[in-house]
Amino acid sequence: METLLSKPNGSLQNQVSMILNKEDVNKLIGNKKLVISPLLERDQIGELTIDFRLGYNFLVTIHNNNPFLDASLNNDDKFPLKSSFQETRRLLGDTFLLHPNQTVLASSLEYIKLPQNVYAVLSMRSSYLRMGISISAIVQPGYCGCISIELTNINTIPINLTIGAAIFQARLYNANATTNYFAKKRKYMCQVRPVASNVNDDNDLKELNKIWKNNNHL
Amino acid sequence: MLYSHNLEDEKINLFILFLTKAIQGDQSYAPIVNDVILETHKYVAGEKNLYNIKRDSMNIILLLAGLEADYFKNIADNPEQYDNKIYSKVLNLLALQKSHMAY
Amino acid sequence: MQSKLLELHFSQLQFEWSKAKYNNYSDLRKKDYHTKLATIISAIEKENFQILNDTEITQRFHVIDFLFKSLEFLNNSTTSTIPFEIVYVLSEALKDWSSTDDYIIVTSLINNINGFSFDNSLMFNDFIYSDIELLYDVKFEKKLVQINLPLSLSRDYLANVVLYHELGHFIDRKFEITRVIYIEILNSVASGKLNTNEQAEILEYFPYLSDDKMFSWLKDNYNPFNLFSNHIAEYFCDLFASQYIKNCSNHYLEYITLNQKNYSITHPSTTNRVNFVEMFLKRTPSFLVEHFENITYKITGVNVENKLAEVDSKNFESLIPVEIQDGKELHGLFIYGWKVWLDPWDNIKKQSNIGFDLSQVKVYEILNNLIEKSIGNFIVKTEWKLAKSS
Repeated sequence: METLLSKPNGSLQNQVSMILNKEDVNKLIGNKKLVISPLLERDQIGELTIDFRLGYNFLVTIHNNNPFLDASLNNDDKFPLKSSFQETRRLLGDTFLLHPNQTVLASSLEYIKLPQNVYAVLSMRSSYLRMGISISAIVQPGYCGCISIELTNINTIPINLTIGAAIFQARLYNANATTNYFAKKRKYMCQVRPVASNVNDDNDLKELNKIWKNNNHL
Repeated sequence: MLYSHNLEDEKINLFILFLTKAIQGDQSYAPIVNDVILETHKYVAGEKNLYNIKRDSMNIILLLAGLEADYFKNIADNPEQYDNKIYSKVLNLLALQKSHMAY
Repeated sequence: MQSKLLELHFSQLQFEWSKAKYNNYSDLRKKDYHTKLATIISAIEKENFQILNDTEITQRFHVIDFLFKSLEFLNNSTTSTIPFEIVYVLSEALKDWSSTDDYIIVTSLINNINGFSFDNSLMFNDFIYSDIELLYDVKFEKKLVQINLPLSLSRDYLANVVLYHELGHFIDRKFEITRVIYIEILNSVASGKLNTNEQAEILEYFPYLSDDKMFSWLKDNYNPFNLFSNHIAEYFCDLFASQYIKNCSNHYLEYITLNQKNYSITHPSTTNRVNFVEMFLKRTPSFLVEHFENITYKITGVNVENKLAEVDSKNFESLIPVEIQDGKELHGLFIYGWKVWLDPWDNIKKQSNIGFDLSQVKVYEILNNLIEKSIGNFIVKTEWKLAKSS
């Protein structure tokens, strides 16, 4: 049976996202269209995936006077998200204890800059999946900065992670069309430490807040 | 610091304490005070200069040299000869000066 | 001194220690230091203060002060938000002048916007270490030095250039450079051997020396805090910093002093400070700069000279960190960072094809992130290479 990818003239092939292989990735790095820094070991670039390491900056949620993480504007910023997170740093080789059901914002050790037509799909390396940590995220074409990852331990016991260990991987896909990541204002730019959610800057929330006020005659 | 006004003040206070201990007969403090007295002697005698006198006790050395250069010039260059008479003289010099010192 | 007062002082320490004794350090050197503090405290606990004489009581006061200060430094070092990138760069600069093996550098983030400093109060007093060794048979091979940073500016790598100046104070104190310059300048003036230009230069930078009474007073009354001492120390530290960051500290200096035209008791005029650094950087013949250079070399054996490698890059404009190849480039990063800040920000917009206006706070954030990551990457790569080769 013919698959989309095996059409003889390649016309359909060009319309679907192609995963980039090791050769493609190395070529992009070579012509400086893709930046991964630091790349401590060349073999982080596998046949179809690139391994990324756990960085040394973390944001952990803390219990404070906020009753919840408020992803709305309906409380007049009474419960700012930022105040529910606390920063903590480690050194390379140190460890970070991830408690059951805890979500921690971390970032990759590597700073990346993706080409304008390449996006990345992230997943945990299988060794870490087996311990009970999962992530799932997409990095947009043209993104630059350390990759933010939200680590959640779905196991029932704490997991001790080593800073600098390769814990997650990215598959790079050709997006077919070239986009400009910086065509519109970006909330996250050149981040090197994890940043608490800026969800309250979403324009949508502003509109939804107006609707809520109108509906409730506020 | 709760006790000392500043580092130099603390150094001088400690040096005075060491002199007192040496005078009281505690010989373990003698090498420390002898070292400063000998260094002061070498400085005023021209054997050492501003560039090579010991840095940690430099201000005490210069202070002592300024107070009575001739005394330190004529002092023996063998610390084994330093005795309570010398320690008492140095102690008195410092005690007198300390009341005028701004630091 | 009454033994009751000593008991009060020691009780305060014991109270503090009841919490601090559980401090946990991953750094073995800090652990060792902590263990030594425990040994001394335990020994003091066994002493009967009632039978101590005045001298012995005073000695304990000094020792307890030392213990308090040490705990203060160590307690601060348990914070998990240390900006270790800037500490690393300063340690690299420190290595040019002194072995860092003798120190344990700790960092404190303080609530004072101008709170940049090196606290060297546990560094330069051999007497206290001798006393502790004689009293309690405990020897400290390493001494604590604390770098203080304003909490709100701990990630501001443009402002952090001030720490090079503060490192200068540390080096000055270690070698007593200001003390020697103080004496040598006054001797030069008193000798009457200076030519007209040399005299004029001295009076330009130390105008009060033209007053005979003031001159005599300064000659007879050395004090590390009088205006002449203070001014020499400030000029020295500016000179020291410019070896690493050229005139970048001037940018920050002009900002914090609002370009002060007159001198104060603690600082020379900003105009003079800026000019002094410029003379060094441009190699303008200067009696004073040469005097400072020669004296520093004669004491330390280290030349006052350019100690940085310039970063020739457009990476920041392309929104990527700089690949530092040589430790000396770490210092050059700050110059590059300041250049990007002072240049039109359109350079970043054009280079990175940014379709919206970059606000000043966004540029500030980007630059600090990129400088931090450039340093961080160098540290990581260096440590990785070292681990692989051992």
